[in-house]
Amino acid sequence: MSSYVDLATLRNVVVVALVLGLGITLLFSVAVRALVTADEQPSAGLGQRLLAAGCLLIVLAAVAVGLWAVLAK
Amino acid sequence: MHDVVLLFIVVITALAFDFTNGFHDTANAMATSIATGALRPKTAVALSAVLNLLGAFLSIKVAATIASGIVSSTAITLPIVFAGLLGAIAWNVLTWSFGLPSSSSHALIGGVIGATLVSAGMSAVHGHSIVAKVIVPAVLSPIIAGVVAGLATRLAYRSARPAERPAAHRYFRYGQLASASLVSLAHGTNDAQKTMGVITLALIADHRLAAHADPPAWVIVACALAIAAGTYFGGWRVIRTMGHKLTHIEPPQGFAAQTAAATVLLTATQGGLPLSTTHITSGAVLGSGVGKREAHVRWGVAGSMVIAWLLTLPAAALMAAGLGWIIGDGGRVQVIVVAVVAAALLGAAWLWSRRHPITADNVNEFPEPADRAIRDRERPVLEQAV
Repeated sequence: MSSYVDLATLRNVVVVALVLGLGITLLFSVAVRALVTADEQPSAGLGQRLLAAGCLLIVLAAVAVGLWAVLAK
Repeated sequence: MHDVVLLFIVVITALAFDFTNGFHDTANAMATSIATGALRPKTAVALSAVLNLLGAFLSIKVAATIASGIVSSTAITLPIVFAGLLGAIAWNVLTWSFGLPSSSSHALIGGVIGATLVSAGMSAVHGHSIVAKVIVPAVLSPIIAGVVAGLATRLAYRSARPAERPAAHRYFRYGQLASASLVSLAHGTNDAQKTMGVITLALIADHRLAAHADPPAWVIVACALAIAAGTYFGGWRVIRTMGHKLTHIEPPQGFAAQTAAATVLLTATQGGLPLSTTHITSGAVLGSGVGKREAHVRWGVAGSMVIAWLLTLPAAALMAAGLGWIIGDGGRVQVIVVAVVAAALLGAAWLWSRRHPITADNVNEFPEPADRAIRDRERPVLEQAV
C-alpha cells in the first residue's frame, strides 16, 4: 500500500493543513471576538483592538509564509 | 512530422476545456461567499477570475505531473489528446447541466487515459502513477479537508460565539473575502496547470518539444486567460448546489471551509499532487456543515455528488475511448468532423440548459431553513466599505 501512497507528501499535507487551517481559524476567531467586544464595550476598546491587530498580523504572516513556500518551489 | 492544423485544433480544444474548468469550478472558491452574502455574485466571479489568472503564473509542478506522469508521452498522438479533451469537456458540460460539482481534473485525466488505452494500449498508461497521484489523493483529500473544516468550524463557533453576538458575522464575512481569494489563487495555481500539461503533451506529440519539457510561456499565458474567462462566465448551477443545497452556510462556516480548502490545496500544489479542487472544497463545505451543532446537511445531495465523483474518471475515459475509436488512426479530416459534431452537441446542451436558467440574479433564490442567514439584514461587505 505504501508504494501507492507518497507518505511524506501526504503527511506534509495533513500536518500543514491542520496547523495552518486550525491556527488561522482560531486566531481570526479570537480577533473577531475582540473586535465585537470592542464595539460593545468602548471602555475596553483599545486593548481588544490591539489583541485583534496582533492576531490578524500573525494570520497575515502565516499566509505570506505559506504562499512563499509554494512560490519558492 | 508536424501537423499545424491538427495541433491548432488540439490547442483550441484544450483551451475550451480550460474554459469549462473555470466555469465549472467557480463554485469551489466563491459559492460560500455568494451564499452568505459576503459578496455580490458578479463581484465574486470577477474577483475569482482575476485571482485565477494570477495563480496560473505561480507554479508549473502539477503541469509536469500531467505531461509525463499519467501516460507515456512518447506513445501520445494529437488525435489521442484531442479525444481525451473532448471526453473531459463532454463530462464537464453534462455534470454542469445537472448542477453537480464533479472534478474537472479527473475528467481530464480520465479522458486522456481512455483515449490512450484505445489508441496506444495498456502499456502506455502509467497505472502505478495514476493510483498514487490521482486515485489515492482523490479519496483522501476531501476527507482531510472535511476533517480540518469541521474542526475549524467548531473552533470558530467556540472562540467567537457568533450565535450570541450576531455582529461577529460581519467580521467573518470580511474574513471570507480573504479566504475565498486564497482558494481562487490556489485554484488557478493547481487547475490551470492541468491544461498547460495537456498542451505540453500535444506539443511533445507533435515533436515541437522534447519529452519532459516544461510548458512554454505562451501556453501558460493562454491557459491563464482561458481559465479566468471561464471563471468570470460563472457556473451558477454548481454555485447554487455548493452554496445552498449541501448545507445552509453561515459566515463562520464559510470562512472555516475556505481556509481549510486553501491550506490543503496550496500544500498539495507544493507537493506536485494534481488534486481536485472540487473534491477538496466540497469536502470542506460538508465538514463545515457537520462541524456546526444542529446544522442540517442534506446527505441525499452529498450522496449524488459522491456518485458523480466516482463516475467522473471512468465516464470521461469511456467517452474519450469512444471518440478515440471513432477517430482511429485517421488524420485531420476525422478530427475536424468530430470537432464540428461535438461543438453542435455541446451547443445544444447549453441551449437545453437555458430552459431553466440559473444566473447571477437568481442563484441565491433557494429556500433556506427557518434560522436563515443574517445575510438578509446586511449588505455585502464590499458595499459596506464604500
